[in-house]
Amino acid sequence: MNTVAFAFTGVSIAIVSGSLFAPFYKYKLVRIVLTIFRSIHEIFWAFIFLPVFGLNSVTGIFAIAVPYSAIFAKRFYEIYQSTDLRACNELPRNSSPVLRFLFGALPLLYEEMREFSSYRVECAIRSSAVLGFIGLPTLGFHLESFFNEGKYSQAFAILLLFYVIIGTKKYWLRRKLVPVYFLTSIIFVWGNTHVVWANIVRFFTYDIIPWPMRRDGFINNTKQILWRPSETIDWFFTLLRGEVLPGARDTLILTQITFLLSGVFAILFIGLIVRKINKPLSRKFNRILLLVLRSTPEYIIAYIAIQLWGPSMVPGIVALVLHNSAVVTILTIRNADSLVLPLDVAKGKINCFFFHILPQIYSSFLGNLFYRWEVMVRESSILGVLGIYTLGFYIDSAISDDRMDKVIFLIMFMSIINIVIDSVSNKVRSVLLE
Amino acid sequence: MTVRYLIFIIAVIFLSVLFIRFKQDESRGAGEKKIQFTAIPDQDESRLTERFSQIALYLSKETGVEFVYIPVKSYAASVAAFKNGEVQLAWFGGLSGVRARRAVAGARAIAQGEEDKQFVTYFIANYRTGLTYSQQLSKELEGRTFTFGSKGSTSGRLMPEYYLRKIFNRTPGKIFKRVGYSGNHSKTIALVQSGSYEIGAVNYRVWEKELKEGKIDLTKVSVIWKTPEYTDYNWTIRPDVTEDFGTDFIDIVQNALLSLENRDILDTFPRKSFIKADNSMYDAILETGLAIGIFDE
Amino acid sequence: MSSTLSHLNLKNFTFSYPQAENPVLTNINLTFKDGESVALIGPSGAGKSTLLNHLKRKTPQSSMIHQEYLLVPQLSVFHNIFMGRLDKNRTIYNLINLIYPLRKERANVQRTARLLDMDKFIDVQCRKLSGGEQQRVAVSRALYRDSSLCFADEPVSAMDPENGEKTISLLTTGRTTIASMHNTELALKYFDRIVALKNGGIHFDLKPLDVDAGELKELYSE
Repeated sequence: MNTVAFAFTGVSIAIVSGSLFAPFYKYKLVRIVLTIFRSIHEIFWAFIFLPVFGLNSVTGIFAIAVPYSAIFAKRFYEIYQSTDLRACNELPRNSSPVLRFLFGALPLLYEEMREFSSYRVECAIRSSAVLGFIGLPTLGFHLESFFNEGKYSQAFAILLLFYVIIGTKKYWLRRKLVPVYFLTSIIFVWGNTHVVWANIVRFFTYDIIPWPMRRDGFINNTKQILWRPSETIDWFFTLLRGEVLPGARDTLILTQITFLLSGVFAILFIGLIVRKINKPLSRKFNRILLLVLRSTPEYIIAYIAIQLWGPSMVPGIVALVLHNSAVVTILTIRNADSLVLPLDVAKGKINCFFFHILPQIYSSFLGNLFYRWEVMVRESSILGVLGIYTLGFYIDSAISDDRMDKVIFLIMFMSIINIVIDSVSNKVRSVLLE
Repeated sequence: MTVRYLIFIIAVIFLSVLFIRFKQDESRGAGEKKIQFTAIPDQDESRLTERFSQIALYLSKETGVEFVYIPVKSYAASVAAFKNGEVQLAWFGGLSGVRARRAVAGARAIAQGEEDKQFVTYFIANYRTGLTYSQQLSKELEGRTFTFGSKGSTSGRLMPEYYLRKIFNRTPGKIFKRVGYSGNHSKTIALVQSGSYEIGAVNYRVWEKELKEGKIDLTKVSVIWKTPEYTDYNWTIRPDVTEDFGTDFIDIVQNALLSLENRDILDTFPRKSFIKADNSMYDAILETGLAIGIFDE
Repeated sequence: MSSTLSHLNLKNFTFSYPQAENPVLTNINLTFKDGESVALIGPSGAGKSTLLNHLKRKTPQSSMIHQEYLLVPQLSVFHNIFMGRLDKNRTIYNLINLIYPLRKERANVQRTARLLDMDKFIDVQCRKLSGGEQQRVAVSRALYRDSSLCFADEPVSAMDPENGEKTISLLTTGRTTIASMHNTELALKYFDRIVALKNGGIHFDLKPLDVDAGELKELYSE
């Protein structure tokens, strides 16, 4: 219940603030800030908010709302850009811009915005479930507890419940019911909010200041902050050498292995579910399997894999590859199914697949794979929390040492990597789609 | 039509369930002030809940103030909760206690288990390694796989890492082929027993308790070394409880803990009894933490 | 061979697409002889393509030139022509040629491509070719398949007259060919038999010499 409530409240806040930011998305500064927000995974946001708000609903909601606001702002802006708005020019010139927007533009944009929001609710439910792993009271919390104690049947039941919630989304997510859900979610999480202003202030003005600047004040207990440039630079470089670079290296290795294998597996999966060369029954079966893989957060797959094999790169790779290749397959399969093949095409599935189908979908397939690239980086670093030595591992260690200065520094660095990868993948995709 | 009807019904059920829960929350919140306390999640959650719901009842009865146990998922979260004042009292390990008291000026360690004065860590090994118990930590450890408990644990991380560095003169990452953090002591035992890791470092109280309960198969995993003794677990309390519950409240809680004689409760920890503790008893832990770089200095 | 062709005999054949109201073809009676070249003519919508597709489905071994070519635009001319014989080789052999065309196969394909002057384009991606060139690749693929029975749906629609004639003369010699033809002039010149379709039925079925201008005019009139 908490899972859905967090997701709903988070998304609702994100829609509102996303819409507020969307008109300003064309300004560079806003864009940069929002890109940074977007590039930090929900779990890391939760890590940041945890010491600020404590273990309560606010942490969960904000961890979802902040990155999602940035996502909504970007997407709404894109929708606005790509919609033909000539109709609203017909409105009276002297009416206020707000009114013109509400009566002119909104109805045109509404359908697409609604569709995207509904899709994001599903994503938010997944994120919210994963937040349970770090201690918020969502499905992931119970899943982890049951797994830890070897109660596999209960763990499986929780997983099943999760699939039911996601799978039946189109039956319960109705327009008329949205206000009902929204209100109940708010009421539901309200009882569990408790924010101490002093903690927030302390976090932003003290905890995240680099240690060398806090050191003297800490030792003589005055909590004074002193300006120590050379020591602070030393501190940065020690961090960079000791944690950031090895973490970044492992993150990128994991990402690249995942990237390649996801490609290979996605091709295999496409071959198994493309309409032209598979029997309807086996196609259906494989398709359901893929949908399950797609809707299971990779964090949960990785968690289960690590329970089985212990923490190393392998379970991380398995989790990321399974999830991402399923996503790429499902994104690409529509193209593959719409192909028209000649009637004198040779018998034999493999021939047909490699000669007729694959070459024709290859560029859209690569486009989708590159689209997931940035997601893979973000997820690779997240898996560090589970004990694989990626950036997330060092962030988790810093959290566990209560060194928020380090946490912020590492997260910032990770965000830069994500932004770089994101822009590279956008470039590659625009070339591919030409 | 039927689908719509179904949705309506489900929505009504959803709503009513929420309202019932909400009502409960409210009635609880409207009551008198209460003490919330937490504990480091060093073992399986169901055991922690069992242990701490019993002691919550005991403390509520003894002090006349309601005590509520708040479970958390990580050592870091327990420290953060203490630091933020979400909980006023906590059962910490040596390391997390030091960390919490460093973060909250005036916080005091008030009690520890009798065994916590001379706490040790066991190094355990899977049977396939062929390692057996010895007085010295065997050099054959090198190049194997090794797991600590939680990153923030005293007996599962701080002390074993300290002794590993002292004996091998290298960081654990350089001694072993692979170093992991299982998360808690029960998990460490399970991982080494199953062979996922060849060696592990575990809290001796947890080991002995699981041994007594028959959860450990000695043909698969055994103790190969014991660390020297150190001071571990403690009850730590925030100074600001005196504002809400009176100036002598810390003493009341301390006395209640020290006079705890109920064997059932003590066995869940498992400790013979609780004895007086103070902050200086954990200075050695602080030193060790500084030595291996867990604390900033 | 006659067994393949007897497969193609149609008796009172009626065909309609699922969910369509009226049948596309009604009461068609046709038989084909070995080695014969048959041109299907008639206004668009008469059912020529439907008839060809139906006949093709009955004979998996035959080759087919589609109206829309149905080439794989991302692959080279070599690969697209090579596809004509995929079922003659082992799968693994095909895949090797997909990644690295072997010299022997290149030579074979080159020989077929030369017939329509496509040998100079052999390494060019198909999507970079003009419509007429693409159609020549589609014809080459069918020729390379080397089947004794070939179906062609408007095989020269996008070609210049010279290549068009060359293509038709290649298609109508040495095999049984059934082709729908927009260009009646070429049809009358090269084919053994002309079958005219109109409104889903056979309008006439004659030797080219017996077809007169009046009948053609009537065929294409509303």
